[in-house]
Amino acid sequence: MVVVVCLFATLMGRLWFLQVAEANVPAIQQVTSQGLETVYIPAPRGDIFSRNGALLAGNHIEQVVEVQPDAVTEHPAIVGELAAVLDTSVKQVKAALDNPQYSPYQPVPVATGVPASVALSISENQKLLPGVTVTAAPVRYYPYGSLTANIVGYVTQITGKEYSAVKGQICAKGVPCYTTTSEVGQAGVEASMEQYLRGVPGREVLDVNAQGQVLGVASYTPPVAGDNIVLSISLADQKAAMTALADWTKVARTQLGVTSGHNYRSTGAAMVVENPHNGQLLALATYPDYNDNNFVGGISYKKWAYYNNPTNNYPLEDRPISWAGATGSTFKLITATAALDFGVRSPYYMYNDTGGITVGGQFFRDNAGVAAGPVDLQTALTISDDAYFYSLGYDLWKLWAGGKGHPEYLQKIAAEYGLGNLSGVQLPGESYGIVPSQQVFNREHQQYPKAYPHPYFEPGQEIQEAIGQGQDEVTPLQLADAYSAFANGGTLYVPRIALAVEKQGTNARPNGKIVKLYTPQVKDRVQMPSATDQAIMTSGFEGVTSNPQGTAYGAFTRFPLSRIPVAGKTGTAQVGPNFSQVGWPAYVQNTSVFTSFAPASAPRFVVDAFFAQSGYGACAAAPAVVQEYYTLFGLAKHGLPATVTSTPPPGC
Amino acid sequence: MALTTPAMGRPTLPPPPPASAPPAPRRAVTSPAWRHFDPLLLLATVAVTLIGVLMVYSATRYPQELAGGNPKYYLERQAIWAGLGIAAFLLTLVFDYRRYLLWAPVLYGGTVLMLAGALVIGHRVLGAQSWIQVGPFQFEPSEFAKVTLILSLAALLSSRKGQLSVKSLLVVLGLAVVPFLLIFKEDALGSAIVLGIVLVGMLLMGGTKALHMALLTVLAIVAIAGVLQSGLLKQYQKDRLTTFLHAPTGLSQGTASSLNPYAKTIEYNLDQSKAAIADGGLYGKGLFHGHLTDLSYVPNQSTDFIFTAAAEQFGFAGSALLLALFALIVWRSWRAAALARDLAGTLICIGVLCMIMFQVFENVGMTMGIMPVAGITLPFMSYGGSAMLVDWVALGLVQNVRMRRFD
Repeated sequence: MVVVVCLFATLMGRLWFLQVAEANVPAIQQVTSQGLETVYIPAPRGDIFSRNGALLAGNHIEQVVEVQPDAVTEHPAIVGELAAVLDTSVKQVKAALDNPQYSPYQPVPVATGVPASVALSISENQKLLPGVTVTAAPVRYYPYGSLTANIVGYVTQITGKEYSAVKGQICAKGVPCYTTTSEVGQAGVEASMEQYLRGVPGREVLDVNAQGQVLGVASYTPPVAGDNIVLSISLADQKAAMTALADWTKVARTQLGVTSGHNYRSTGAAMVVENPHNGQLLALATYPDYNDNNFVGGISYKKWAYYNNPTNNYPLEDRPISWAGATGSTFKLITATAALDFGVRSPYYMYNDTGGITVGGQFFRDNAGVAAGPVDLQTALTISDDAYFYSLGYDLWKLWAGGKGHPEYLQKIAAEYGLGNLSGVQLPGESYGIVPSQQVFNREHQQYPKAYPHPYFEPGQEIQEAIGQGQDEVTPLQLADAYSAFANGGTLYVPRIALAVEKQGTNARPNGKIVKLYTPQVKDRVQMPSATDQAIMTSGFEGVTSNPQGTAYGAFTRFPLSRIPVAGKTGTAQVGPNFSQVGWPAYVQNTSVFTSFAPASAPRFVVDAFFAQSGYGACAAAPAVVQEYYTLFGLAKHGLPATVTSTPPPGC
Repeated sequence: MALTTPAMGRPTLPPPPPASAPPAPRRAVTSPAWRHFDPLLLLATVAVTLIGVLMVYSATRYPQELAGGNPKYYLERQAIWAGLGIAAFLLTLVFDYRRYLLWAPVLYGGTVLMLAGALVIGHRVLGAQSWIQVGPFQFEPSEFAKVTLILSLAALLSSRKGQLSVKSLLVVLGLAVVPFLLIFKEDALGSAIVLGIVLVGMLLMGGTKALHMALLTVLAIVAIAGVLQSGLLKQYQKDRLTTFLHAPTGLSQGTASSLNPYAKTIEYNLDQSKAAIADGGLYGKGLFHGHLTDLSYVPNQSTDFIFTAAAEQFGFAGSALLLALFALIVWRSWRAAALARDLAGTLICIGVLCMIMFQVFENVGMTMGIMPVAGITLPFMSYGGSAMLVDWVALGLVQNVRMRRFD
């Protein structure tokens, strides 16, 4: 009997050990949870709207043919039948079915966007096609395509590398944000606002038996749709800006570049329209552009090759934020502000321009070598007198180098205007830009001792920098931010691309509950000269458009300046061959830059434009900005006259 | 089976009836035999059988349904077997067990013939060639051999009156070895082992001398080692027997699809078995809520691994209760052995006790990974007719002995 008791005690002990004592061991839990397969249901992505409620990115419902994986194992003939119905090859159907990204318990999509006739024939032939279903699935689309592609961006199916980076992210209890089949934003707002747009995937737990058959649904949590984004972009202004860039690229390409002896190549352009009082971006245009609808459902190899071919000038670039180049004379805003701030020179001082200045045996020549004679600050801005600003640059350098503890004033003010730093706009791919300084030179020397043999910050560097040449690099957005700060009296705002994040509303209208509101955010305060001095500078900028001696006078002859005074500044940036891109010819042409704010007395808009390889700022950028003002101020209700869109200004 | 423990005690044997006493008047003064029937033993067995029927249903209803069959198919069959088992039990009670002892040589001869027949015309099931097809039914002579051997040994040993000479011992061994070898030849290894255990238990109770027992033990050890070494055992049999000795494998995962070669191995079966038991936890998942049971993750669950179904659905509490019911059956059999009117009765009860005890320990121990996988069914619970009938007949013999203890 003792033996019997011992035997039963052994069984009881082992039973306790297995069922109670060791039940929480992870390996045991893992094996006891087998048979529960979790499938995640993608959430509909949030919509993106313009500030006026125009849909820029949405989902439309497409018919998707899906196949249950176990149906194919049971009835291999499905593959052939399906290929016939879908009018594709057996190989393609097999390839779609073998996609390892899908769970073996999840229907695998075989064809997307099938016509209604095919959907009908599949549902009518269920006997021939067991396990094949046609379901409606949301597919991303961009109603305005290339018009807003650089802002909105696009989504693609997540890559293996991306997935391994984000697979730990949890969106709800036990629900990962991403699965191997998730769509993820790759550019523009789709990428930068991904966390709001993606929503929360649904979760379905299936009972799967040892043979892999699905017996039922153990639990189901529906997906939560992503939030909508309302952009600050005005569709009309964006459209006008994109058109202006295309129009004036076309014009520039017909004009002969004097120094190169070739027509301007006009390889790319950018335009920014910003509200100077809150940093909201009304338009962010780029040229050339791409169509983000090409990326839906996977971009074709041919399209991808086209977009990446250097001869097509990189349409995927979002130039207003990623293109950091020399600004030319538009930089004189910073030089003038620094000079007035630190009392380097009175605005009334008459500087005698003799055609250039000589420093350290090097002659810095005025543009076109014209000696303007005596000029004060206002005139120097209006006629863009280089010698005036060269000498200011030299004076600022001497102050710093003089050993009396003066900081680098020019660089200090440039930094306060937001140059050489990320603007903080909610878009991926922004460039920092460069404001040359001793610090920058030191860093460059240490990083690339061969290209930068010595770390000294020579006066010539500062003299070049004072007129926006040399190693100066500014993005179109940074320049718009700087002029916005000047226009509003010294407040540097973080430029805003989005106004709000909202929950899905009814009927897909962006009227859901507000999740997040993007209020104006102050990034910095610029140390401004006195109000009088500011007025002198503004007058100088106004003269650029209204004074017959002004550099952009020709471009504004057809603009109603009497009603809408425009303060502007041209820039003609010489780009060195070092900055040429792959596939460029040996010659380089100037970057045409124009920046402005209007009305000059009470600024509502800051508009700037950059045209690469397009010559004088007055000849491509300025007329493009004029064209944009026609739309911004509602001057062209019945279409723009040809004089505005295609006639080069006098003198070009 | 260390039945030699002195603390075990020895059932008090009733004094042999005086040979001269006439049977008729004795019968008149004793109460009817059914008055001495053990209801507790019957209730425990009925309870175990009913739980078994329910467990077979829980483990087979989904696979049946998925295969397009009747989900109650195995439930119905097992219920019929249980009914037939109880009928056989009642039938066993009708005649005095001593009459069966008289028939023992015939039963023994019939069993040996059937075993030999199974070798010739038998069906091969799960590696063992031990089934005979009779009309729509298959039955397993090796199962029946258990009960006929118990009767034969009881008859033989009791005739020696507890004094086993070397010659008698050899006769007994010879008697046991024939069916043992036949069953072994049929690859029904589990049944052969049960026979061996029954033999040992009955020899101990039948008055084998300690020295002889020790010698036999040594012999048995040598024989087992020899068999393992000689290649008489097939590889799958060795694997089964030794898997539980290996260090715990990484618990298996994934479905038992044809793509998973691991799913066919004995380790997989054991891992799934342990997983299902562990899934039960303290109080179980509830009847028909056994997750791994419903999804058929434990291979052979309705037959050899039926305990896992109970363990998952009823948890530690329920399976401990189930084991307690088995313990009750064993205890009441022990009582019957102790109360038996003669040595033959005691030996029958001990034989049945050893059979049930060993099968329960081996089967449940196997599902929990502490005993080798030997293809031994859980009495009264595993799906299958032959075992059910034999178990109930064996129980009938125990009741028979108890009922007629004053006859």
